[in-house]
Amino acid sequence: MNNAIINSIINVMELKMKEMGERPPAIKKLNQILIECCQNLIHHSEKPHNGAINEYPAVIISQIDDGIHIQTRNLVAREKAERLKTYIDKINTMSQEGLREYYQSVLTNGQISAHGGGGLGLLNIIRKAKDTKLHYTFDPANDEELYFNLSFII
Amino acid sequence: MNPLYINPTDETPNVILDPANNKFAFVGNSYPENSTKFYTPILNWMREFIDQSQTFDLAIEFNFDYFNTSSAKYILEILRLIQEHQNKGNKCTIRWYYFEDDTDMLEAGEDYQMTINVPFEIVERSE
Repeated sequence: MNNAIINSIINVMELKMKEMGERPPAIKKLNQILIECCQNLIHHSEKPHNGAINEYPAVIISQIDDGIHIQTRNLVAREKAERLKTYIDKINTMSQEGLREYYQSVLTNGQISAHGGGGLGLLNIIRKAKDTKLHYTFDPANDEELYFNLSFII
Repeated sequence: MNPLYINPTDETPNVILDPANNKFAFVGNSYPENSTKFYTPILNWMREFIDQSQTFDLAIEFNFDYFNTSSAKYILEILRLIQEHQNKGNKCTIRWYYFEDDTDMLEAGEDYQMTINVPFEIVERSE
């Protein structure tokens, strides 16, 4: 996945949203969250082995009664999974105001990684999610890796 | 000092850093695949500018449609350099635009406003 693919996804979703009669702010919000999710997948996925299609990062967008359901799936190293789990459990307990304060503190004090990531991706996503909750599961993939399934509603 | 102009793309903003015409602005989207690669030349230009320009009142506009979280870090670095320039006795002002209904961009502006000690105006614009 790269930015060219992200832009294609955004263009398709923009057309779909317009067909569904959605207003520009809702379309913009979906675009923003898709960019953040997909760039997370680009920067944090393990590479697929032997081109196995099910090991490539995936994003599923569906309309449900409550809003728009977004699911992502990617391969992560097992040692990363525990850190991810602890981190999501922690931010899932925070209120909208608490998340804003935490975002502010990571923004002003955090380090920038080699690809320019600032450790803010999931925080940005949860701030836009309904009820400020992220749902996740880990499925076994192989001895070293797990599938990380993330889902939320906006 | 030579100005720095960067043309916009779908994922990177139009950057105008032009002391001769006193125009400093970022306009558009910012979600480059590698924010470090995009923002490093901008930060280098800004640092050189404030080192060379001991007296220069600076007004800068941020007119983003959207920026991703890794761009957020670099925007803060730019704002910190402006504050540094102000601390040398220059008058600096920041103008932050957001579209009406775009509460995320409004909040982002408010967050920066709280972080940076430079006159910071938040302005609503319509579609």
